[in-house]
Amino acid sequence: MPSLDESNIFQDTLEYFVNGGKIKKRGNVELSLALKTLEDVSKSKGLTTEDIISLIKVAASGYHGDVISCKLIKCLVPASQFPVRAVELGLSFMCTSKPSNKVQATLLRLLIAVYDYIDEKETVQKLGYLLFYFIENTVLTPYVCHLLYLLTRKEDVRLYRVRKLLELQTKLGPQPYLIGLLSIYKLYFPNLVSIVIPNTRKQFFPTRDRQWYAVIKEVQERNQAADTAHMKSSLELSEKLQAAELSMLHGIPPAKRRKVDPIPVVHSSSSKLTVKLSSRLMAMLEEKPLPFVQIQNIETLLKNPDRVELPSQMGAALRSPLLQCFMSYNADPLMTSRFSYWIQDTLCEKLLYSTQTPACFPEIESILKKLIQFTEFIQEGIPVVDKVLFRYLQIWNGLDFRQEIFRLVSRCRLYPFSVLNENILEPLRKLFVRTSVFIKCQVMLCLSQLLQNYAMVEIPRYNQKYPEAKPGISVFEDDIGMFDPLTSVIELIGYVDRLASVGLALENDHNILLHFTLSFYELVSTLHARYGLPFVYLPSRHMIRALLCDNATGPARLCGVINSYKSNCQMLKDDATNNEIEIPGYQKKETIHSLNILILDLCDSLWRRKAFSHGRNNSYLNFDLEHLATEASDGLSLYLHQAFLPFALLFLKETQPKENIGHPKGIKNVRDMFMEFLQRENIGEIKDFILNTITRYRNSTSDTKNKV
Amino acid sequence: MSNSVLIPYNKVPQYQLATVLLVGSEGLGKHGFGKCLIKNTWFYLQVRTATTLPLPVTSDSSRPRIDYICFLIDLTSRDSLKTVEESLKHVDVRYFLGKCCFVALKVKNPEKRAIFIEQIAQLSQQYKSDVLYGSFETEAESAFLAEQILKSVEIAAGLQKNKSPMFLECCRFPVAGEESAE
Amino acid sequence: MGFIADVLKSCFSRLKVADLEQLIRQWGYLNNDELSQLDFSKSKLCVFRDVLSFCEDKKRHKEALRKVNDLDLMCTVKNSTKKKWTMYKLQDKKSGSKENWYSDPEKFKRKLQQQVDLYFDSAASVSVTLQDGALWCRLYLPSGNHFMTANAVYLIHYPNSHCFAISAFKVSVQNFLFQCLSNLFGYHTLTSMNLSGLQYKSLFQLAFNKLGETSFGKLSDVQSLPFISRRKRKAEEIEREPNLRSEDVAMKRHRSLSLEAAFGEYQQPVLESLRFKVEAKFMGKKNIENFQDNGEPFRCCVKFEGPSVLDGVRNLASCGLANEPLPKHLLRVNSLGTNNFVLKSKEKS
Repeated sequence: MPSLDESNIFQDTLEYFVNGGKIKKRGNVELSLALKTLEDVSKSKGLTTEDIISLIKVAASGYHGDVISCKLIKCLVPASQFPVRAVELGLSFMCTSKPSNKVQATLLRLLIAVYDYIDEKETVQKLGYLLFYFIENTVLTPYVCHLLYLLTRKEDVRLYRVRKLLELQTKLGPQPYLIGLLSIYKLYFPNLVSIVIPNTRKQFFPTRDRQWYAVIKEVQERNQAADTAHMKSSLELSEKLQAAELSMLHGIPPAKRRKVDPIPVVHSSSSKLTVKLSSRLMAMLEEKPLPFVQIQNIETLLKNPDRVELPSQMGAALRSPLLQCFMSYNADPLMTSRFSYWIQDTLCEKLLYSTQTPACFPEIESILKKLIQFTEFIQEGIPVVDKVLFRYLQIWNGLDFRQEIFRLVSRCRLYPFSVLNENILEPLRKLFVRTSVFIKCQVMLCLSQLLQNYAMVEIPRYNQKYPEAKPGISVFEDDIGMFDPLTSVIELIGYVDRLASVGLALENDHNILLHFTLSFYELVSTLHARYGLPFVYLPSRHMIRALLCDNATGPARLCGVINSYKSNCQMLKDDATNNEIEIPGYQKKETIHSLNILILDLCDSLWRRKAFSHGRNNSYLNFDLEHLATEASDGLSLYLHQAFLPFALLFLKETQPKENIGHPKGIKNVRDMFMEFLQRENIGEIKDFILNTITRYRNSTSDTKNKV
Repeated sequence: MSNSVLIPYNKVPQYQLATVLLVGSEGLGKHGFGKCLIKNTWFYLQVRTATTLPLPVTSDSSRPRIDYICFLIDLTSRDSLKTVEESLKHVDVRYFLGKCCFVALKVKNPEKRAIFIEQIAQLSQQYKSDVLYGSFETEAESAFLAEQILKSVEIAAGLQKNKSPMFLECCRFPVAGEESAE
Repeated sequence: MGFIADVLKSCFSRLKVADLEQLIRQWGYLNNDELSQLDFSKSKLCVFRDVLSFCEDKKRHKEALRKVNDLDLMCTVKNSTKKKWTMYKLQDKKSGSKENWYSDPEKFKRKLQQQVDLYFDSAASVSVTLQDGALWCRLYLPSGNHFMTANAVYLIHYPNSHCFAISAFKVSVQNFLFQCLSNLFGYHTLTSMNLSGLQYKSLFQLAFNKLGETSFGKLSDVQSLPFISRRKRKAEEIEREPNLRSEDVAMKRHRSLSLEAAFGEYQQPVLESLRFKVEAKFMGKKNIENFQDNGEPFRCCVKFEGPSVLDGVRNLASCGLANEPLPKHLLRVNSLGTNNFVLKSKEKS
């Protein structure tokens, strides 16, 4: 069996290096053969944990001299994981005087190369800072910096280390590796590192051992593929899955994307550790703050709310649902201000201060999407985002990120109307009057959602904020002074109302826009019933346009909206507590009066067949009778209305003999039947409206019901 | 002086024709944008381009009535703003009732910006005219700008029944108490 | 022998692989047998080694060196834009002696060699060739003890003209070099025209414009010199769109006419840089309040650089980015025949 042979030869080789005596170098055929075998095995399969440990002892001690030691170190390609024991051995030998500088450097390069595959990184992190004592060794400095860059934790950053590095920098000049290490220090403690890290995307640590890395990666991939294919170790697989799950929870993207993505990950150099969180470790963790990265599920979070150590960059909240939970649960001003600072900076940089090319659109879009998700989750807008949005809307071209911008606008905080008008409504108006009906609809929808947000979330928040000054109502505190929120909302409704009337006129009562407008009115009409706002706002007169629509849903929805207004007005009247509240610019009596006129108009035209001959002066449909034929008054009645004519025809076909279905006028006497028919056709609002308003009719129907 | 002022109503409009004048210093891509406007239009449109106002005097009456003026400003060039400011002196006040707009270009290159956004905002406030921000860099952006301008031109030229530029203005500033009067 | 290798190496390093074979064949030093042994598909270094060994095999150092120098000159002719040429003109005709004009390369070489031998030691050498109607000359002027390829000076001269384009040379040889050349033509001295660039044809064109005449005749004839290929500029085209009209047509037409008057209808000579040293009085006193005027001129240097500065200036104006009319110092570069200017304020008399 060749494989047996191979393994035998390999074992012999190991023996040769580990237990053999001094090796002659010059012209030693045995040595070159042994090295060849070792190289072949490590490049094809990689070495097992035990082999690595035994080999590193020989290699790191420099026992066989520099050349062989370096060659041996280069062969230490791990088959699956690099044992932490080997790292310990390597580091301890480094600290003795045995290995030469060259061997030390090769050893460091090895550690950098296999860093991702070391099984317990925490040990490495603990030991790693021993290496700081080598920082002045000019041969080793670049590698030391690189390795430290990889394993630095927050608590490793110390003032004396920073000083040492700065000292070195003045001595050696701005070397990229020193700047690299300083940059990670600065990330943790901007206050300790005052130098400016150049913004150029220069690589701090150019990869010197590309081939080496490639070999290691190849071996790993090959072994992994074999693993998964045969399901050899279900344990390992489940572990991997667990890790993947955890990374999902923290929202860590695949490594490749991490570099380009501006949203930081929950900073973790020991994320693997959490997977194997043993009970002993758990016990150990009891006593000290729990780094956020080690929290793997919501239970852990809920059990230790006061011991959680926040991640180094709060921006990670956009990635990690767990952190979002934590933020909304524990509205710590420090945490929110750190997040605010980050998001403001990032958004300003992306949207306002740097050149945008189509290439960076996906990136910005993804940030905005994540931000929207976050605001949806915490159910509130973020004041600093509003500020950036205000500025961006001023120079917005109306095209980029439209969906996202509208979503953010609809999550805007409550502001005095003048602020709102200047910063949000004016840019939107500019867009509204100049664009196609579809964008008009988007604007209408956006403003409706804004109103809903105000009614549902912001007004209650505002009301809670001032009377009792109770902290922790919102995650993000704002610093807007006192103003009357209701006036602001009323003015907003008035504004949207006016915008809608202009939009409908511009688009010749386009059906889609009409429905978006009616949806808005529906929302407005229910503000009292649903959200308890102490007013009913009646839209301007152009609302009657919906009645003249040639689509049955228009008049029907109008009836529905009026119904809703009517019931809301009734509720408001009955609700005695609200009667005292005075809102400037809002007259309740006038509103009710106008509503009555509107209701009368609707009844007159749809039911009473006197759309124009009602004799009232203040009607919405006021025409000079001289210009109208007498029949015209019948024109808008239920069965002759242009929108209902098809239904009338259908109705006649169903009820009348085929030969002579008659004229729709004939329905006049069976209007209630026709209404039943309409309800069957899913246009029930008309019936509800008539039932609600025309008392005689209501009585008659109830009479018939009683009789039956 | 009175000769050099561009007046909106001194000529008889031509039937179903809208004319838009693009004013802006050279090198802004007026010609290309003019073509973009013509490509996207849904009504009969003529485009005139000029680097500055007043327009050169022509003896013949070949120039139609100008229905709408677009002032193009390149945010990265201070000269372009100056040109526009100079040209504004030769425009009749009636154009500022919704018959003109400013177009600020290259808004996505803040590093190269030579004009403060506040300056543009001030200009817009001074002349009560809207500023459209955008650029001619991509087809989509040009087309979107063109669409917005065409909508305004159509109304300014009176091609839409019962609509005038002033009608659009009515939703600009909320007037308190308007609703209660109804 | 090492010197041949140096020269040959510098030739090879300047040549493109694609041009190599043609040039070696054109060179004519290697016989057919040797040429057939060369494999031009190999790297330049390999070909170089082979050629060098052939040269060394011939055992005739002198001839080989001369031939290698010729090859070096051929390289320069081929890649003339890689050198920076500076224009010089002959001045002060020696009274009594008659002007000497040369158009035969062999004769020119003989005469020049005579002069060079007078001023330089025996290591100096001269190679001459005739290309595109111009005499191209490579002078090896030793300075110091080293044989260095940097000691080679190249020279372009149109027969019967007063000016030369000379590549960069060491200051130490300047005097002797100028003496050689002026003696050769029967003049007292050689002076710089403050005109330099990479395109020798454009430089000569500008120099001729300035000098106004050659022995061929007047300026108008120079314009039609056979070696100066002048291309007409492409006419500016304005796309016609029925519904799109520019109100500035008249202005643009006027501008292009005035530019044509200033620059002519041909493409401009190619200059890589235009430099203006300004030593005028400070004019911006209005804007600076506490400016102390001590009468000192305000010194500054303005440089225009680009692949073709004169065309660039013209294009700037035609795009409306430079204000019309252009200042005189930009307009008159063509006739002033120099690209290094000093602008001074007028002395008040």
